[in-house]
Amino acid sequence: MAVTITKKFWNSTDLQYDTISKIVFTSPNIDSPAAAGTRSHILPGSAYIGSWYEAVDKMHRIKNNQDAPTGRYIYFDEFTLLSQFDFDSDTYADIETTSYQFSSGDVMNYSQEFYCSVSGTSVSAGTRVHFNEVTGSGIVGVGEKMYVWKDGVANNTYWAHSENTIMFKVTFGEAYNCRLTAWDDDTHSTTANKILDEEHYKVVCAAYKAGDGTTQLPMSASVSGTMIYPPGLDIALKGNSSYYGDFDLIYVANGGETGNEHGNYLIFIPRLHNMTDAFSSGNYDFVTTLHYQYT
Amino acid sequence: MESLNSVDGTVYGKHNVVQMINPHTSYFIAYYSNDTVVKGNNLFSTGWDVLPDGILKLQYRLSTGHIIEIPKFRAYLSLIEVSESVQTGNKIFHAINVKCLGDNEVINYRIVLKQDRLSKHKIGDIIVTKEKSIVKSKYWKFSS
Repeated sequence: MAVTITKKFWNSTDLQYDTISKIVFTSPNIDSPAAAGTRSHILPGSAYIGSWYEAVDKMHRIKNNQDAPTGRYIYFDEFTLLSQFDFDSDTYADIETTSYQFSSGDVMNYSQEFYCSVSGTSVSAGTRVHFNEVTGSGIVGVGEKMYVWKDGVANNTYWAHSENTIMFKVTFGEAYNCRLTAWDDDTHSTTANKILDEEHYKVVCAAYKAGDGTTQLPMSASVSGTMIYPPGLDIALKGNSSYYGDFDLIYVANGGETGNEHGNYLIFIPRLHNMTDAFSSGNYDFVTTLHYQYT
Repeated sequence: MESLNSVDGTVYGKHNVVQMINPHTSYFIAYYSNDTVVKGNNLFSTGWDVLPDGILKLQYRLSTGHIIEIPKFRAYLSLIEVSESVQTGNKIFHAINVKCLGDNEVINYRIVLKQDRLSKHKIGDIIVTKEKSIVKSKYWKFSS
């Protein structure tokens, strides 16, 4: 079965999702949106670099500069376990101290199959989080991370979200072993490229399930199992040596058999890291790719 | 040329070229015990999902003329491995991964679909590995 995957980004001018044509890193000193192909020249270190997403007719500035992610990254917070957690018997987890305000119904995810619903009566006592429902089986060790999705928080609270990222959505078929990475633009086989080889290209990304509605926002935190794969925080994309994945993206039509099943999404926001005066200028073309398998 | 050193000799620019099979004219061929033969379509829409169970023999024919026969196993799952460029939408077909279910293990027959000047594998090469996990799919096809 063939698989169809759309690639969109949110156009805040026309309030719609546009099909992306190109990712552009260029100077932010031109107005947004601009005609497609309107790219100013930049010199490393001479000014901050902006991220633009280009549709067929327009290019839109998404980020004014290439600063590292700050604060909450992408509709979640992450917590490191201070003691092992047994999904078969434990009802609470000890985590590193956090300022995060847990709410009843928050879901802490370890993986797509392993997650816990936060209790409403004893939300957080010091570094201990209590759960009223635990799904999964097996033991997660000390130092492992768990992630929480928060419901009802504005997009602009987060560094990356569904309206400033590039969004993959499966609209037909099943894509297995999906891997977001970057290759040389000719062969998709090597990373013999200064930007890739020196790990200047980084992304914040997440694969998740969400309602197949018009907003395409992550599902309410009260719905269990929203995470398909642990989120990636500023990870370098470099062929098969550094990437985001592997995970499966499956098309769900009309809410599936129950009517409550969700579509599968992958969102990411790219940036160039550490492009200082020391970076020698040149032509360093590369491509961001979704590497996957289908029947 | 006496002053030429390694710095002077550095070559900038692209020097690699990729060669790939024609995905429009590469397909599988499944043989059945009642003398039925089912030919796949191409690598974009393979036709694997509607292939009946009871496969007696499974082959792949590449556009280069290679004919590759997969040994007999309990079941097969044929997966096309591609990388799709976000920027251009172009696809590179890397391999056909034929997952083969044995008695106690899953073997992957990786049929290479592209080659370049840096890769050690050529079109039509077969790399056999043991899988660590089973791909969950409803499109596994049983042999006879």
